[in-house]
Amino acid sequence: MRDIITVAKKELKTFFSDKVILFQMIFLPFVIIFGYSSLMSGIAKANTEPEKKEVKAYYMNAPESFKDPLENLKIKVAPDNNEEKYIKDVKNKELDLFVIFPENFKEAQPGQTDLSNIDIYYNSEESSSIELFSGVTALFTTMQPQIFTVNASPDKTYDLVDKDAAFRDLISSFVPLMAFFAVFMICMTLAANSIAGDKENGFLNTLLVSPIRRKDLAIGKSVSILIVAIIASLSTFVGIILSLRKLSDAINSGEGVKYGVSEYLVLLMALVTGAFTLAAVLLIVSTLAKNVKQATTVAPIFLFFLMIPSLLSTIPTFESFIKALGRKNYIIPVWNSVRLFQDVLKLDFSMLNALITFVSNIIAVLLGALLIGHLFNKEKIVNG
Amino acid sequence: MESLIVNNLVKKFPLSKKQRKKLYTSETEKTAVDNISFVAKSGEVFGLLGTNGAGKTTTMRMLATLIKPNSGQIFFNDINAIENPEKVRSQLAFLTTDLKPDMKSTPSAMYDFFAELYHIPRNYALERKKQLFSEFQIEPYAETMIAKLSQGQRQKVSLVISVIHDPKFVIFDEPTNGLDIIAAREVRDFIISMKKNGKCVIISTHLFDLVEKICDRAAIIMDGKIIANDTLDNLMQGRSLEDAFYEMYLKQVKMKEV
Repeated sequence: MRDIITVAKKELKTFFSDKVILFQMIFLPFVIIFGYSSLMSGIAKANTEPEKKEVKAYYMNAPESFKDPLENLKIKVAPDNNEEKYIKDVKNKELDLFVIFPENFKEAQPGQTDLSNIDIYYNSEESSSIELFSGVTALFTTMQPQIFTVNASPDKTYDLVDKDAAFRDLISSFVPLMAFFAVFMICMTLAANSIAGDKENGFLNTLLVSPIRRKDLAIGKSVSILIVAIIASLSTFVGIILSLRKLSDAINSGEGVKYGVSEYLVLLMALVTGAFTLAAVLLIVSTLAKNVKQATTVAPIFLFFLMIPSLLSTIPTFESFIKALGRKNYIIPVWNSVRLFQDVLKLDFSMLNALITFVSNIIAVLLGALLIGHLFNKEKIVNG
Repeated sequence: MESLIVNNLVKKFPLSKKQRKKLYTSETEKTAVDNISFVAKSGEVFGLLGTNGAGKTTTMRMLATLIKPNSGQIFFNDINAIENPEKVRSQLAFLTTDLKPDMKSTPSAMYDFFAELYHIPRNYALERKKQLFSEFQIEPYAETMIAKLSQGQRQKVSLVISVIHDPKFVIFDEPTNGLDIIAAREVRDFIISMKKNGKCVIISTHLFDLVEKICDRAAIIMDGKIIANDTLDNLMQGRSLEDAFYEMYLKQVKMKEV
């Protein structure tokens, strides 16, 4: 035990004395998830906020029944009859839109064949011009004579989407991936350097001729990486708490999604146990690799285990298939953490599935540690 | 009186398909060390002399318990190194250019780490640190990252770390490999001081003058076999060691042809 602590202490000292590694461990996960979420929320806000630019648009010769609807769209009556000038202004982007009704415009009646034409001049290079054009054409469509109306009542809400559920589905498709990605990157670098790096630079042999048992050496190195995984997970967790709020404010148009203490606790445990399993896998890769380059080339393959649940959950067919697997989803290490993460974000998780996830991941980590200890006794593995 | 006894040591390495093709052989394994035996005692320097690929390093790595022999025995005093490697490691020091200190650490931190690994009592470890750092003149760069030190300085750090626990047996594979004249001299002086302190020192080398200068007895190893094992005087018989070696080498070549 003492030797395990000695090795773990030495490894952690190496990690914490390197400012770059320290930054990656403590700040990078937080920065990745919070930064990405801020970007997403910024983009969302830009798309939902009303156009701030002052629109300039005119109409000419509009009949009385059209004037108010057009004024509501901020399209004003042209100051004079200089058609050519206003068309030129639209071309030069000095005017967003110009609507010309023919003189003596008559609204169409059902069955009428000779129809009056309304000219709408716009400039598709200007987003404000395109928006106005869309608004005006939609307006004219609704103003056409109809036999029946659809969704005409202004007091009713016809789109019954649960906006909160839509928000939860959206964030569950990318937040788990971002969270585990950050932890994966820091663990991959450190695990690769811890074993494959020591093998490559000859320090591992120096350790192997000391009296420490090989199993204790393996466990000591593993413990240090697991501690790093916890720190990176905590940083990620803080990033997630702040991100969820930011994303909810920017994207969610519902009543607001609220996660309670139990949800956050389960999220944290899913993150930590998932990170542990990832760390164990990366340590095994590092033990089997001959050098750091080999370790860091092979390790990213395991990113797929993180990406697949997130990506597949956006495709209804695959999501149904995954759901049909039921409890089996929560037995597969790492996969189970991502799935549980998604479930919590969707507010659709069960404590039994959470328990299965934690136990499965802990068992995976213990088996991983045993395997690493066994590999350290193999001459070919440790001597390269 | 410490003694190292090596009996009928054999080590074979499997050959991959690629390696068999390269060596034009159908053999699935290569015998790197073929039934070697020797004895080394405390207060002497025993040399293992041979060309590159003769089996020296493999032998040394087996003595250091880094690799296990396919058959044979190694006893450090009465301790069987194959059955009790951890017990043996607490009594021996192994030095080779392949074994390096952690580049991201400092000499001081490295010393403290290995002192803990060897379970050296703290007060004694501190005293010994002062003594060794002074003796090897490491104090000026004790807190400098090892990656920034010269080859000679790193070698000194490796030497200090290897003798933290005051080992009874010192195994040194190619001790002056890659070192400049001064550093090589310092290493030779270190080996002689170990001998004078009653340690059992085993070195492997391909340098005749090194063996002539510091060894008491030597074994000549060729193609994994020991072809001569005696005191230096008996090996040389009035000639230089190089001439004696070359004569033996030619004899071996003739025997193979026959």
